[in-house]
Amino acid sequence: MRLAPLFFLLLAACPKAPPPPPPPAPVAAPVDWLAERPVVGAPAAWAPANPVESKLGNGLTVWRVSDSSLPLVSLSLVLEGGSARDPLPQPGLTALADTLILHGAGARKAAAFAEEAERLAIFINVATQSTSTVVTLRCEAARLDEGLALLADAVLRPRFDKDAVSRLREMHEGEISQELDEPRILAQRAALAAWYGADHPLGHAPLGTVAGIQKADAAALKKSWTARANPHQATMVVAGAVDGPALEAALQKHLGAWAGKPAPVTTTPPRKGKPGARIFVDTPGASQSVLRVVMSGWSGTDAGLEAGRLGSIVLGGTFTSRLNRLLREEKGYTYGASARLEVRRKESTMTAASSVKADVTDEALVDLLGVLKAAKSGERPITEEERIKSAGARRQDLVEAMSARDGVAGTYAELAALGLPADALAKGLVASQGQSAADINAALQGLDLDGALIVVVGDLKTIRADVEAKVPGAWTVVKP
Amino acid sequence: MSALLLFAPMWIGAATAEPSKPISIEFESYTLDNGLHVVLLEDHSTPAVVTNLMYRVGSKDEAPGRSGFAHLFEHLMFMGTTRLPGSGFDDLMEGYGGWNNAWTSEDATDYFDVGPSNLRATFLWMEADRLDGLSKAMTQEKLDLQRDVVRNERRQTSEDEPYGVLWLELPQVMYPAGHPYAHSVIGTHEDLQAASVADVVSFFDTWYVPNNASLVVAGDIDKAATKAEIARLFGPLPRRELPARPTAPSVDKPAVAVKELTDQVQTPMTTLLWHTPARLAPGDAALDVVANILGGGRSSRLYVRLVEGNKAQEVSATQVSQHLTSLFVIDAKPTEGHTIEEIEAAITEELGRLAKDGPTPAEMERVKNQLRYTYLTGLEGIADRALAINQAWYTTGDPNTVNQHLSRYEALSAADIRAAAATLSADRRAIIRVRPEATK
Repeated sequence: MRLAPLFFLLLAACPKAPPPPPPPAPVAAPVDWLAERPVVGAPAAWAPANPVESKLGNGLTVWRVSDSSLPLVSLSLVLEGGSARDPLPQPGLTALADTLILHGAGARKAAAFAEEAERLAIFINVATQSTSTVVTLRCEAARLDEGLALLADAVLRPRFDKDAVSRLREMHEGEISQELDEPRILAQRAALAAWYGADHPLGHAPLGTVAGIQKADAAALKKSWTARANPHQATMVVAGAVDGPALEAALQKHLGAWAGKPAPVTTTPPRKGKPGARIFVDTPGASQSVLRVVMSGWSGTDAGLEAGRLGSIVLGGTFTSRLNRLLREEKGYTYGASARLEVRRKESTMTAASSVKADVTDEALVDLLGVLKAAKSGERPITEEERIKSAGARRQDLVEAMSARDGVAGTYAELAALGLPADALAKGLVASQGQSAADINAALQGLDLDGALIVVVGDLKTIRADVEAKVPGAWTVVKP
Repeated sequence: MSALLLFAPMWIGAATAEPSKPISIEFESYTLDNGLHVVLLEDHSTPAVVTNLMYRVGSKDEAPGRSGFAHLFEHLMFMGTTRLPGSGFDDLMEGYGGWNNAWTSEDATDYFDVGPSNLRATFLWMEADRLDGLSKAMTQEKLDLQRDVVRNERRQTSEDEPYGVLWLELPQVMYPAGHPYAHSVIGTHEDLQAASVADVVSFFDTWYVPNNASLVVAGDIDKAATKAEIARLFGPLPRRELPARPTAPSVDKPAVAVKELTDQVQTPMTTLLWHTPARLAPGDAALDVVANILGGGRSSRLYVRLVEGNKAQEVSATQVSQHLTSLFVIDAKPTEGHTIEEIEAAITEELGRLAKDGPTPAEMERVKNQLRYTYLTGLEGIADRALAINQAWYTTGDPNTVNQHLSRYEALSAADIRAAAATLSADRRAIIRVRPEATK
């Protein structure tokens, strides 16, 4: 119902409403100055700055993107191997070892290390991912020398002091416990174990489990770090106010003594999860249910990657994507729905997800699967408008990432983690802009929906029967 | 021309050099005859453009029984007009690689559009269009749909979120009934259900007028052309008289001293809160520094004492600056074997020590270095700069105050920090404790 009639009826029904005013004298209709919508021209040409590549004598690959418009610098050191290197009985060991390199290094114990970095506004962090670890350094360019000295201590000379090990282990245990309070993280953990297999290198979250780290001692942690801290398996990405000669001198000074031997990249075995698995996780009393549908995607070397990337944007990568439009804007089931591609060297997943009102869990899951099926079957093919939209979103995403030093370093660090060359970013952008609707359709039609994993996290007492009735299959209940 | 006042790039190779002086944001600002405030910021470093349109209306301006309405209204701003019906706003923008978002606080509602620079004129036209005609196309169906979305947002971000109950309860604990901040921005389900189309029209007509807004256009723009477009598109919108703003009774002490809550969490958490001076008021900057000294990083006092000391899993301290009155918030989660009360006693002791002895020179150096770094990184993206300018306009009426940000901190002495810490006394604070529910 439109506003005007409703408003009129409300007024008319009000017994205290004053008599209507006399009709206004006729006036010339105002010109609608907003009637004409602006024409959108062609976008300005743009390409990401390609890094200048070099290699230190110790085998460390360096990618540099110089930009002196602000006195800032951002570095990402990418090390091959991540939580996939956790020994089987100890999920979480890698992440704990990685955290510890910043809690005591060189001559400084944990508190002194933090104090020196924070006094100079030097921000050093470490992130453990499934197949890589990234150490980041951000500071004013004038502090780069001090920053690199701290980073070199952390990478080359971590202490693994017993008191720090004990304290950090407890902190990680606390973080893991808190993660288990989060329905979306429960869904993610359950999905990893079911998709890859609980004993697969990729079958657990990087933070691991409490049991996995309980017995981690300084020796095991040091061994974990030392095995991965190899300059031959590392790439340093540098973005910001630094030129080539100055950077080379600084890296040589601080990281020149870092030694290692060439080693092959670790490969992960094929996943062991049961195709088409359906699992529940019980969260009694939850007012929403978390839905996740996991499918095979496109790896970093897959020829269909760019088409698949655009396909995932069409399905759930923007506000007007098919999933968000249906589940949020048409049905009002959720605050948001998405599809996300997670790319790794040799394999990849595409996950469609949403958190929906508990009382519509079954209907929302059916709708979510329906969107995927319609794209796969060709019943609802990708349109030319959707192709343009997804290509534009991909380009804009990169434009924005490359406008900040952290974004530049982070974006190229992702490429390095995939084992791709630095120019793969610019080439990938060109490729994405050249995809046709038919290319994207072909990619989506290759999705294996029969083999998809479905995870539902919610109050099983109220949602289970309806979900099982609407989405048949061998549903099992798991506890991450 | 860059939006920044550039200086010689001499950052590397001088390891002992002091960090360079901060840079200013350069822009042009003016006001249309109808009261719309405009800022133009030209930066051609990437082919992108941002519009940031801030309205001076937030949850503090909501009518009794309509908590959550300002935020619900924010959602309705995307539901189409006569000229651009249905989902046209998002379709048109995203069709060319752009995107948008918005947020609502107690004080303001902010809408921003980001995209390739060929969308500049389109962004301006869309914002002018909905400012002119949103209410003419409002329907019960649109309201019902977005009400559902907002209620889902409440479930996802508060009800099912660990410790989310804290943020729902905090306003009633800190403010007396009738205070403009005495209810949450997200509102209650009951009040959201009560909202009507008539409320939407009235809210729009009252607050969404050019003389209650500030528009920043930043990025790869031509200033002369943009200025002409703004005059043509926004100039004809009529100015309207704004109602009197809600008055905020002075609050010094919280409404409730101690509040005990439970949630589906495994670790208890305590939150200590104080009323503090409003954004940019005397004392606001000093409390930012107090927060950093207490909880800003691993070398902060509370981290060293509680986390390094194995008594807490995590601790944070924040001065939450707001327009009418601010809050100082410290929260911490004890490790197993330690209690909330133990943590609270340690925090009280550390506050007393800072109030008595003041900060060390090393702490002052650390804080000022970190604030400068944070300021510089805030200059990187055009979206961040556009928002910072609009926030400065909102608070002071003068967007140029964005460039005085760092000088507020540079001027602070150890005595200022000591005095600010002394205001965080036990008799003025509230404590909200969230404990795990007995059984899941």
